[in-house]
Amino acid sequence: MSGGFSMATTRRGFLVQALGAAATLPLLPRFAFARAALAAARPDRIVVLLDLAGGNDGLNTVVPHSDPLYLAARPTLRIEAAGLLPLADGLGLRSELAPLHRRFEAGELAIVQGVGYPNPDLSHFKSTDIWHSASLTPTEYSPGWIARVADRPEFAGSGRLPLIMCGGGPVPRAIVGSRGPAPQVDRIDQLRPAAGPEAGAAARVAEQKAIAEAISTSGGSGGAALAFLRDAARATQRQAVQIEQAASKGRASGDYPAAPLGGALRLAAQLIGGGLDGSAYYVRQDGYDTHAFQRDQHALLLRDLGQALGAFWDDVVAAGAADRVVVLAWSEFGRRVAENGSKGTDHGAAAPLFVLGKGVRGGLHGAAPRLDALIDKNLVHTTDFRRVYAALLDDWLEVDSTELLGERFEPVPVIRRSS
Amino acid sequence: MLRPRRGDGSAAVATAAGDAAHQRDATRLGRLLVGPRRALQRGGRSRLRRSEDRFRRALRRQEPSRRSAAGARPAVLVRAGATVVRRHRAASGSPLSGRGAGLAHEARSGRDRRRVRERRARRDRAGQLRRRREAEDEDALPALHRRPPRRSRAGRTRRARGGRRRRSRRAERRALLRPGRRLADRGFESRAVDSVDRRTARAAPRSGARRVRPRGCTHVHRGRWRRRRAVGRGGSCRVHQQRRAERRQDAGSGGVRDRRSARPAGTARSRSAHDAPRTRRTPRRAFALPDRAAEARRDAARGRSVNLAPYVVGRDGAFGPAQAAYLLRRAGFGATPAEREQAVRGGLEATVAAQFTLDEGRLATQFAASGVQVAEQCSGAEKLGEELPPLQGAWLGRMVATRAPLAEKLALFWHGHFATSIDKVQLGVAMWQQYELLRAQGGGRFATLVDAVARDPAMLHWLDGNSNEKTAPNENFARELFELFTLGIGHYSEHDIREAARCFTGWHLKAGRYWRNERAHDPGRKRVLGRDGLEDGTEVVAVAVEQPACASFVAGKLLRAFVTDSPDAAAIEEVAGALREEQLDIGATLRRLFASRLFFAPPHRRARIGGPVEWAVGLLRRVGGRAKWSALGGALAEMGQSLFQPPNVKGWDGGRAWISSRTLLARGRFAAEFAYGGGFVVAVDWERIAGDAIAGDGGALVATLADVLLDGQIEASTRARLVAFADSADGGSGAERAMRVAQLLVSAPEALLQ
Repeated sequence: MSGGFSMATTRRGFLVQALGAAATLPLLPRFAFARAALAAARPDRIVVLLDLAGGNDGLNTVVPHSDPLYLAARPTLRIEAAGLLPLADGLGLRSELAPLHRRFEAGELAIVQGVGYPNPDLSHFKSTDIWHSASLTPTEYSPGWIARVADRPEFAGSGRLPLIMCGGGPVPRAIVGSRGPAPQVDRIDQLRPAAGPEAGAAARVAEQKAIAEAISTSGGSGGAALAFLRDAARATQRQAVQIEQAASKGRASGDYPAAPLGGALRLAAQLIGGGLDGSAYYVRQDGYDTHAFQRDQHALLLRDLGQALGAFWDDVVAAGAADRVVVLAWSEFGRRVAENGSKGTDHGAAAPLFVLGKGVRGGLHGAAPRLDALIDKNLVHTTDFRRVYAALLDDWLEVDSTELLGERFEPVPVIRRSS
Repeated sequence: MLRPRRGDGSAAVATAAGDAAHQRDATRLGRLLVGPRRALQRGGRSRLRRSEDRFRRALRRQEPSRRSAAGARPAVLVRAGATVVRRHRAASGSPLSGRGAGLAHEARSGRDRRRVRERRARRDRAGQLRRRREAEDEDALPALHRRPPRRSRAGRTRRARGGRRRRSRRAERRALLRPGRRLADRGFESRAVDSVDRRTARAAPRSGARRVRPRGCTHVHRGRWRRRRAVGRGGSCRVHQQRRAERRQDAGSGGVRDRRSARPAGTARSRSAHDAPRTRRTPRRAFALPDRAAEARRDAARGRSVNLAPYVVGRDGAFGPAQAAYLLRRAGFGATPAEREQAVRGGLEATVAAQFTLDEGRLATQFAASGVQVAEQCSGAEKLGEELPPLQGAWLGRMVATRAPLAEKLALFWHGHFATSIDKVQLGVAMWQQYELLRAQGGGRFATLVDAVARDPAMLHWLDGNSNEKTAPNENFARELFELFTLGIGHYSEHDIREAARCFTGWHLKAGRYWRNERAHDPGRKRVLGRDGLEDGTEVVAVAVEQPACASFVAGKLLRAFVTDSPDAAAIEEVAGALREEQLDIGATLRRLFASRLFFAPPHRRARIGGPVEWAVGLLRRVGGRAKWSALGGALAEMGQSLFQPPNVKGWDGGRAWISSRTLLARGRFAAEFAYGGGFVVAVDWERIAGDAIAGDGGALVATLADVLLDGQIEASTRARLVAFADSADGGSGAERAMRVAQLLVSAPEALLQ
């Protein structure tokens, strides 16, 4: 649906426009004129990264319901056409994702098919690292791709919180940048530093802060570990105040599911509505590793996903931020084409991903992976995941993707040109 | 054996009253779900029946397909229930009656062991020589409960030729599948066989022993050698031949003809008495004290590292309060000043030795009993929110009360390694049973441990072994076995995973116990990790554990857990080398590690960020504190470590990953609760902790509290600020002032360094 959308014209044309726009704005800071790329960056825009952790079964999410090979590979797990919402000929979306289907019909949801990378790694942790670092050979401490964006001066400007994780669980590499991990918020009521009983509480909070400041960076016997802890303590105190302020201003009134994902997306909506100065939010939904008895478990996960994302989007629209937000929902890999003997599926390769937003060019993108040409019983990807990242970087956040990804990737045209 | 006790010495912090309070806590925890009258009650018939019913109901919920099996085999259920009760009895203090008592077996056999040893020594010339050798070797380590056996060459060979090794693999498998025994029980037994001196091993139950390789032979014995029972005889094994040739070369023309050890000469291992080069033909030469300096020079010349060179007090540094505090922080949860002093008095070797005990004390046993009770009630997702906190509380209470902290720390370490979550398993009994398995076998052979975990009911639920069928194998367990449990990524192929998954087909559960379902098992031959002809999962475990990558993988994890967050490659290889020499015996390796130069290297002293559980348990132990145990687990979950509920199968990443703004704020809340008492910590008696310093100047108060809470390890700038605060009007006075200072101390960044 997006045929001849050539990169060269897009990008060059855009930069020219951006420069022109910048020249007409007298109040822009001086560095904006130093380099075109700097002037072009859009820290006001927001990316919400939704990690469907565990490996979502792409074939049972965007279902090729009339493909005989699909029906043969999934004797007990297949989804019949009757229970699907139509996307295209022979392709249906799970009815649990009805809120997303409405966005699809409104042209605000892009589904990129067959996303993956060469020589797929079937380890959750390695593959997650690959997606998070946007490198096929991630090293132990390479920062995440979105953290690399957040580290740039346009985004990490004074006092901004460019990157934030909503919800509990471990902090992923994606949001660990050169200055340590991004803040993580689970519940707003946990943000206030504990001071104990009221008498002298303020003094103790001040003292805690002073102690975190007082430890000298180099002189300490704790070395690097202590320096890290001290930085983390100071940053936490500062960030907690900012986040709490934004949360008190924002409202999230949608109908979120009780699952942890609901709470996390509600918080993200509240912070976006409250005007927190953030460019990227990271949210995770666990549980997609459906090796056994997948049918019910997967349906419940998709229902939570559809309901939470639908409610989130309603809140974002209500807050008037819809044209500033794009959601990217992806999984580290899809699942094996053939189901196993446990009525589940083992780790696989390529899978579809979702991009949602007012600025999104809705519809189906990329070629569907072929069920008759498997490698190692797994689907072969048709779109490199870094082409989606390139689209978000070049066309949405408007920073140079080649520099951030270390390689040139042709963006998948999922983002509508802004002007 | 030195055994730090609460209530010793002048600065003791836990009083008899405190112990009584702990005891009440354990009882209450048990009552939470069971009802007051039955708390800590010994098992009766009606109780047994109720427990069975619960078990059966739980099984029905879990395994709809096996409902008929569960209903049709009440006898099996009675046995399962009876085992729970037996464990409960054992745990609640009836002496040495239960299998769950772990080391009970050893304790009971102590006298027998001594008698047998004496008899053998009289008969056996090598025994006499050995005693002489022991007397000569000043550096001989004292006997530990997991001490490798010392015995004559002749006896070894006799056993190697006959006895249990003679049984064919098929018979071995049959023994494994003997009905009526639970996996964990078998695990305990095979541990007992492992740990009881092998002179008595012939009297021990044979079915538990599955070892196919002799000690001292660290390379892979492939099928042919094993079938011929040529292993250990020296002549038939090419690797042995080669190594012996190497040793002869090392020792010169008249060299020591060591026929028993495949270990390279001159490794640090040879310092302990039982392991020095020894032969029957040239006793004088063999029993001479090894010249360590010469060995080290020779090793260095050949480019070989000396694995885990021992820390020699005097030459390498002191063993004072700072070193003792460090050792007790890493091997346990930190020590009170009194325990520290006692360790210094006892010396390095005795302190290290004292860590290797499972003798936990009565209080901890009571917490364990309450854990068993609570676990029986836990079943099903609906009430997980109510059931998990008391289960966590029982373990946390045990950690705080135990006199054997290393056993708990190892259980915690393995819980993060074989990370299994109640979220999917949903059976408290299975989770608790897995924890007891990890605790009992955590210091034993890694191979035995992995094999036991592979059959553990919680694991069979967690990684879907229970539904792994030959028609279309489920790869979940096979993949994580290689990736996360034994080898690490990059040391296996996708083909290995698929083949290994076939080997584990049919490893199912029946009435809550491991059972090999022959109808679901793929009997074909498989090729895994370059080895042909494998059939069953137990062989896959054996092959995986023999891979060179396994020792390095485990070594890295041990170093991260016990020494430093960022071990360098050289340190990992050193520990991996020691592990290989010890045949992946975790306890023996840790004993060497804790007494090594590597361990005491100054950069490691504060190179670890403590995880929430060890941090909170450590603080509570230091002040003899108590908690509302059922609420403590939730507080720890906010700090990022929910027991029985790791975030995924990789467990907790640890190190810097412990720290996020969310977890830091949660630790701050804990610091406030800890200092003032309230939500989940019962108020600490700061006047008693601070002693005379309570009325002293700020400097004295800060010094005393920092000594108790942080082993005195605070930065000068922090200390200055705290002293100024304590002396200011904001500081308050009396116990109030001590609380405020304690809160600030515990929430300071350096308090998170372990």
